[in-house]
Amino acid sequence: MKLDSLTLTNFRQFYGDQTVKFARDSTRNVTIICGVNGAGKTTLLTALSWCLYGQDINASGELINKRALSETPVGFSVEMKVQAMFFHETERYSATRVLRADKISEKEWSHRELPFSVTRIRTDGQFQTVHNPMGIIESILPSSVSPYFFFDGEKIDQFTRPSHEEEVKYAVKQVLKIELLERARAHLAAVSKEYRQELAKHASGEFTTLLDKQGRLQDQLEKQRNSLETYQKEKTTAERQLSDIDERLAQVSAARELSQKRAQMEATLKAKENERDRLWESIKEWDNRGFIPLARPTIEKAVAILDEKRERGEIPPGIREQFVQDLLSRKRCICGRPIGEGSNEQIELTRLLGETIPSELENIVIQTAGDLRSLNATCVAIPEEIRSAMRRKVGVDDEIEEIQQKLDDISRSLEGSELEKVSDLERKRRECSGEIVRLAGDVGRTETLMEQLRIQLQEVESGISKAEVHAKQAKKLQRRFTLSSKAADAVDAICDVFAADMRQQIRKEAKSIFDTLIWKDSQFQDISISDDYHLEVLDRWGLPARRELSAGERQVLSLAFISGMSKVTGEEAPLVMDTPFGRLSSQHRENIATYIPEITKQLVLLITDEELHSTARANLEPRIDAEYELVFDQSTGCSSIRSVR
Amino acid sequence: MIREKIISLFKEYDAEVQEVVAEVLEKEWEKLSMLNPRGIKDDIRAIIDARARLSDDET
Repeated sequence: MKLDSLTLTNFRQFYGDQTVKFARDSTRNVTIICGVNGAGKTTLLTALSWCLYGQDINASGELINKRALSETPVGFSVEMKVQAMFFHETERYSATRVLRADKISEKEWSHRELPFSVTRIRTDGQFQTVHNPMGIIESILPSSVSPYFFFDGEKIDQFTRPSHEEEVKYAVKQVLKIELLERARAHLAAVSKEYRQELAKHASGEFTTLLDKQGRLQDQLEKQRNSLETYQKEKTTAERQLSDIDERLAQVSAARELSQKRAQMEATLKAKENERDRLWESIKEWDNRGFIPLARPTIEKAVAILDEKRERGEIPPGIREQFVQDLLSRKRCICGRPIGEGSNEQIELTRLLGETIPSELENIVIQTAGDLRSLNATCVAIPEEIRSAMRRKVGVDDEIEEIQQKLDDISRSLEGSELEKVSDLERKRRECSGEIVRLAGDVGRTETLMEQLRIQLQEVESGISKAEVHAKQAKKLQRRFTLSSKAADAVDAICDVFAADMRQQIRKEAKSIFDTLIWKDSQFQDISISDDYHLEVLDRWGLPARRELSAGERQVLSLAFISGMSKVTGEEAPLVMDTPFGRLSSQHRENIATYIPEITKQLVLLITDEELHSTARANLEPRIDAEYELVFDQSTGCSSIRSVR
Repeated sequence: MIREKIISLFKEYDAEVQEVVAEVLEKEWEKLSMLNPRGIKDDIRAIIDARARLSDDET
């Protein structure tokens, strides 16, 4: 979608028809709409959302322009209308939403919304009414995704506030259509269940037993999936409570120092725990190859045999098989002398041919000798690698234990505080931490159980698809049942793979954008999005640093996250940002002004006159193609849109 | 674009499963904006039924 124009008629403070024509050029793709507080910037954003989706209109206050209302005689009507013209792919569209008010008396109005309409304007100039207007808008830019393209810049830091994983998860799921896969999985599973129930009526014996077993396993899996979702939500809630308690503790001067120290130590603890997990994984990997050293005596013996043969000149042989064969077939020596039939030379060459080995075999033997030596080296390395990793793990375990003891000391110290508020908060914090640990255990156990159930289910399904069914109707149902089960399993497997892949891609894009936008880029090493959608920034030492970000830095991180998402989706949608620079320092403003027009096809900035300072403005200047000023008239109480470029 | 990306992930599966999944996702896509899409299970049954009819031994 590329916005072409937006026309407001009697919408809130905008009296009569007011139009904005948006910049659509590929290089000059920025539209600036500037206005003081209350001039109508947010109203423009609201008008766009209302027109396309019917949203954001429930705010208090009169919707229709008050001047237009007062000028309408009793018994007549007045309309509030928003028309958005936009391009999508090769076609142009016009979307119109109208609210009509009938004036019953000077103080009484009756409002009604007229049907939403969308017209397609074809390339040949023909107009065509779209019969499913909401459907076409949803297919172009879904309403669930629109808040990540049309947004209030000052409110976007919600993504990056500590313990707001649900917002991140929701955004990723909506924008990347993970819900599409989840729905397909649920519906296919439901259809498969229907086929199973129908099949059970036509089948008998072992087949019915397998079907029953599959049904039970599917029910158990569904139950565990629901439990997992509940545990994850409860864990997020507990983490949010913990974060709130930490914020409250940090506000009490007597607890601030210890609270901050704990935050740093917890970050270190997390990094150490990650290191321990990595070491454990590497130990397990080496251990999986632990059988190799057992073969060492045999390998050494084989190497010795090959070495002995090489010393004796048998491998490689002194003379090549092909060379002898060539002499015998040409019947002539390389010096030119003929090799006669039955001559001594021919007899000698025939004897030599018997001592050579085929060249393919020779190559294999040489290759094998090399492989055996390499394997022997691995035999020696494996025990040493395992010992070394174990030593490092023991060291990390000790460090973790030491940090945990120090954290316990801090907790005891705060709980024993003379200030009742501090001791109460700390006691709640301890309970909350315990709850998080318990829930993390529940999550882990449920995931393991689900994995086991999936394996059992696969075995049963394999048995069902191989089982012999004789009745014609049962055969038909079996085919449908097997196909729906296979499709449901495939979607189930891909769902997690896709989510993980998308998280990685968003992380990569968001990191690249964050590095460009943030002025302290050397202080931050990476961005991570964990399996449970925990968005984190790692500082130069690899420690979590999101809690330490300022409000402006959080806004930049959110912007990087949103832009990363939109880049990964490849959706061609405009980015409409209301008051994007409000909290930002000049360096961030300059970076955003330079970079954001490059990563989006169309950018609309609704800004105050104070937001764009000279350098940021200069950076943006080459990209601006349309500029407007919102002018508020004190005498009428209405705003108008004035083109300044 | 995302839809194509999702469908491409099913390349490793049987052609039959790929076709069913692609058609099911198409239907789900059409009804994604609906909170409770009506008739989606019937649509999916129709997709599976059509594909199963193509099996040699049924024709």
